[in-house]
Amino acid sequence: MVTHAKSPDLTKTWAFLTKRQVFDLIRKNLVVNLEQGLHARPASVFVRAANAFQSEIRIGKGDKLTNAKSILGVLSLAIAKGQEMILEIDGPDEEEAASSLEQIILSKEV
Amino acid sequence: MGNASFVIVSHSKKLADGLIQLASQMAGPSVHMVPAAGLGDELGTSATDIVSAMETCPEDGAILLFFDLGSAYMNCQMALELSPPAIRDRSWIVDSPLVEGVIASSVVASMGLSQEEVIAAAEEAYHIRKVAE
Repeated sequence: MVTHAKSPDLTKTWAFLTKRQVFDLIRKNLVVNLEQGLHARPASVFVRAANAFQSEIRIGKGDKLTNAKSILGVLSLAIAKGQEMILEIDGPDEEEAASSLEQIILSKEV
Repeated sequence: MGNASFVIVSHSKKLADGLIQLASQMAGPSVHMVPAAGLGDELGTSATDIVSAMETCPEDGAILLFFDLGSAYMNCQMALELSPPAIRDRSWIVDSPLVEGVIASSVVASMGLSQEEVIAAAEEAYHIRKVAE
């Protein structure tokens, strides 16, 4: 039997991670179903919806990640219909935000 | 205070009209946007046209003046001087890229946020890359 000289105290590490909310961040990969893509008008609908929540919300495509509450940020991603995007939500109302924003992304039209 | 109004001061009437068409599509009908652009059929801006445009804005909200280039700024300043205090005291000239600034801040205005946040969104447009990094 192999014994370690000293096993690390993991409880402290876990407490630290939980505090940083590493585990309760919502991360979703979605394929955009919007007929016009996440451009002009649909993008503004999305950004208005995102701003209704307190949570920190990021949207990304590929390795780019930006603030989902900023219209210019969302437009800069130029996400077209059928493309995959990432949604990262962290905060007290993250569940509601995730379902509300997912609904927009998966709609054909908004 | 009600929603902020936007006065688009541009040398070109077509430029102002096109920008208002685009921004209105994104911000929706609740945000008042009005052009003060061109000199008849010629290119140019006029302080009195800007004042007239400001007078059409709803009485209970901030008025934000966005301009395209150089001398349009001078005419915005002159328009503020020519306006009665009741209008001047709730008007701001916004220093931002014209297209991005108007779009960013009109979308923020459509959410009913404060005029400070509306102006901040426009000025922030200088720092947001057009192509995501």
